[in-house]
Amino acid sequence: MTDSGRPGPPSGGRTLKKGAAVVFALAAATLAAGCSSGSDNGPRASATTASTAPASSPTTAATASGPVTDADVAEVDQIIHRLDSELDRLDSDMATGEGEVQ
Amino acid sequence: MSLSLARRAVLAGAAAAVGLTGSVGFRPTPAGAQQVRVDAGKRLASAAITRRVLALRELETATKAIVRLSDADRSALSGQLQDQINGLTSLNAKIQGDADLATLQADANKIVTDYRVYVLTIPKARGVVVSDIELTAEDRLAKLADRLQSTIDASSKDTTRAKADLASLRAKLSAVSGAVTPLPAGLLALQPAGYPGNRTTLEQDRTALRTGRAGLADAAALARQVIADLK
Repeated sequence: MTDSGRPGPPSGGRTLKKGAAVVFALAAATLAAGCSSGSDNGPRASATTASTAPASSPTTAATASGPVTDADVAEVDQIIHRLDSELDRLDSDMATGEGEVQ
Repeated sequence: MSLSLARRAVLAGAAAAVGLTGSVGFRPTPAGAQQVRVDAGKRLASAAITRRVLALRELETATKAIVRLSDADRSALSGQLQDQINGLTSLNAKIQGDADLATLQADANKIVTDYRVYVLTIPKARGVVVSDIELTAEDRLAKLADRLQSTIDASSKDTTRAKADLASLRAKLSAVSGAVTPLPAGLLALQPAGYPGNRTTLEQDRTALRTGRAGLADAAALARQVIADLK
């Protein structure tokens, strides 16, 4: 434990620091890759943004080719389903007043 | 810490007033009664601010899922939400240091009048998020339309029906894009000072987004129809 009451580094602290540096480097490389893919005129759904999007966010329709199937349209249905949820929330938001504060 | 000291000073002043007038027991003096109201007002204001900050933070998280809008729109929305969080946090600190009821009431009113979190900021931010989702769906359907066009072009069958349905699909997408694309910029321009006049814009945009949703559902149905036409 440190003076501040938080757990201190174990005796192998240098190993941990090296590990942290590797993790940091990998994270930086991933971030850089995400930024570069968003700087062109391609789809904005980079790896960085996809991680914060809902799990149901479709990713294949934008890159698929060949005959369109019902499954492709079903991916759009998922977006519309998410849209419905947000529109319902918008209705709820619009019905809310500021309330009393004093 | 300074706030706590200020509060103690107010309490000490109230206690001194009680001592000077000789009033004790269950009937508070005017000064004591005012202090009770001040303290209750501070608690109420603090709770009101906390609720707003939590709601704003939730929306900040939602803005991270924005994929189709411009970086400028996304960062503008995120910045506006953060500005309100910062402003409300500062206001709460000021309120907790207020020593008299009049100042407290004036500051508490600012929670509503300076921010309009529930009646403006949250609906407008939600509107921006919804716009992004609609434009994302429109994007996906436009790509499907391009692929359907390729299939039609390569087909040796009679594609008259498929071409007509695809034209209807593209018309739906064009209508959605035309109606929804301008919405985020208009919503982001709405400011608390313009309330309640700008409520009309919110209502109109909500209607446009509902219409956009209907257009997207029609477009998805038409995409299925074109697939069926080509079988």
